[in-house]
Amino acid sequence: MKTLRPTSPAGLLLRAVIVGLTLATGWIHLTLGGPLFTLNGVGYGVAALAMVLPLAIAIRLRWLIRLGLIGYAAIAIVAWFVMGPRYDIAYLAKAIEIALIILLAIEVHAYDGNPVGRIRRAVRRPVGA
Amino acid sequence: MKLIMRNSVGVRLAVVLAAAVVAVACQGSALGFDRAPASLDPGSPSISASNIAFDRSEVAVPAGQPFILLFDNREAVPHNVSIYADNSLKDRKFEGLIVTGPATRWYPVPALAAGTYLFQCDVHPAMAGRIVAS
Repeated sequence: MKTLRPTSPAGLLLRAVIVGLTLATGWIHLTLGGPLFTLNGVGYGVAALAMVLPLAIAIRLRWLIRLGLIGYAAIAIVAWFVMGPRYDIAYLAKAIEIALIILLAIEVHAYDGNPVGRIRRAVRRPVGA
Repeated sequence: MKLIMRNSVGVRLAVVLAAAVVAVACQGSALGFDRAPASLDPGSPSISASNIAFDRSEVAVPAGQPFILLFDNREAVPHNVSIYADNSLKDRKFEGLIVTGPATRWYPVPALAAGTYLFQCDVHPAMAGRIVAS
């Protein structure tokens, strides 16, 4: 198996799909109206931007952004599971979020290794230390 | 790739969440006609939605007999009307089909015993009011 790299065609395609799915679910939430959905949509937009921002700090913390986005999408699904609503657009948004989690997990596995070990290392040696 | 699919915590998480979403999707029972029933009573209760709000906070309906609730969603945001026994939302008496407007739906609501019920939009639970069956 070839190693996945961020600058390889497969790596670029994977990142593009992740950003596309993040923007898609963000857009769906923005169309739902109300402050909660709007904030959720804006959050996805910020996450999509953070996934491609070419700033040094964003690149250094990309592993954390990936994990954060996995957690954000998982929380959105659990919140929907608890509160609803159940209808076609919601199912589409949840399917997108599940696909997003899978693709982010592939990136985490390929670029960051074990997320628990990564977090431990970061805690021992904070950013900028 | 197979190794990633087998070992990733994220993938396992996604599989569990996907199973939960599918399970929930199979439980849907929302109702709503997109045209008025032929036998529609011109005095049927109605509720409309615009600017993320219902036009009324209380609706009177006949007790002990099914009725048609006319729901007019006047904005391009998804809304519905569901009826619950009380604020706990544990006992749903009726689930209206969610519709993105502008659109009108006719909800066939089953008979409600005399009393007061909560109605709300399931997409925006802050949109709520009381149904009084008498």
